[in-house]
Amino acid sequence: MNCQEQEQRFGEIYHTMRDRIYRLCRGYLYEPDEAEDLFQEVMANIWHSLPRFRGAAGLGTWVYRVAVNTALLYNRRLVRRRPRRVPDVPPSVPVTPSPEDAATHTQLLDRLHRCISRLTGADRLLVSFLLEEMSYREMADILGISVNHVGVRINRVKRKLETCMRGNHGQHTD
Amino acid sequence: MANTLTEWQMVWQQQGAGRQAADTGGDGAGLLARLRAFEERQRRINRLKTAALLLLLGSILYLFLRHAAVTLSGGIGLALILGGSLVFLRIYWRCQFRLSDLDLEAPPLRLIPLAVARLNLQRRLFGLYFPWLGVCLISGLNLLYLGWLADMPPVQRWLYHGVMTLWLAAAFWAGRNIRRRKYNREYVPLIAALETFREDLKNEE
Repeated sequence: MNCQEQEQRFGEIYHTMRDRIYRLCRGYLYEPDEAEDLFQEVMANIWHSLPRFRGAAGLGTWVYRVAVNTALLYNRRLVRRRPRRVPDVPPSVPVTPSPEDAATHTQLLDRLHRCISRLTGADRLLVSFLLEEMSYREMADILGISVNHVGVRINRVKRKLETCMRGNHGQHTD
Repeated sequence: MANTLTEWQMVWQQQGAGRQAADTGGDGAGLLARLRAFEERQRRINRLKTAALLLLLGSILYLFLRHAAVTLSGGIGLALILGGSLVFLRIYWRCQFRLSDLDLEAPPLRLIPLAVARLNLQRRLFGLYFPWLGVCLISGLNLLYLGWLADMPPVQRWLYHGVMTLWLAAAFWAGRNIRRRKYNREYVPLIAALETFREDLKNEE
């Protein structure tokens, strides 16, 4: 892959996947500033790894793998800066907002982020995939585990998330 | 539950839409420019480091050849200093943890053991190789001084050798402890987190 092709492909990835990658970063790290740093790091690694892309996996799967691996290895920098804060979940936020209510929308999103931040690293990634409406097959390909395993974990993590979103604080395990 | 999940998905997917579009033109050109500027800065820093190192080793060689009579012990001392430093630096560069060295497109369960192995190299660096560098430098400097102090009374010579050896050993010991603390602070938590993630995913496979 020459430099021009690399730039072109990077541009395509950035154009089509940047929001999904950003959301994955926001799901993995609660703090927006940290998620933003992680997003930049993921993009840098995608750029550096692009010449090695051979098409064995689909481009989407490949991008997500780079993003997931970067997120996993990113902790070192967080340790250097400050420990990750796990916020309390306020119990009084309604679960089902009307779509017209922007404030409730923001509250729901904030609550979703807080509940996700209480899950383990693997579960945070799986929830991010679930919220992106990925298939179990795609999730299994990205993480390198079986589809059955993904199914079992997704069911469990859905229950945890639902419990937390209803206001019964799920136990933080990470 | 299904309706709730659908709502969550809808809210979730509205995040980040159009972010940074103004900054980058939507095609990542701005981000790419920043990445390249960063890479260029790193390249300059690395070139500077290499130049400083070569200057230091060159100065040692120059001082030796200019001020000391070339003796067998002096030659062995110089070889120990230069050889030890170069071998250590080669190992040091090879042990550095760089994400770009890892196969980031591999599934996490395959990548994690490789990443942990590379992270563990840092422990070997200060636990095994760094003390060997200390031994090489301390013995090398003592051998180098052996000829220079030949005219002094034995007590004074041993005093010079003793003080220099103790001073360098203390400096290496302190350096090793600094590296160990850095390893415990930065690498151990990451290794633990990676192992936890791996076990968590593997448990039900």
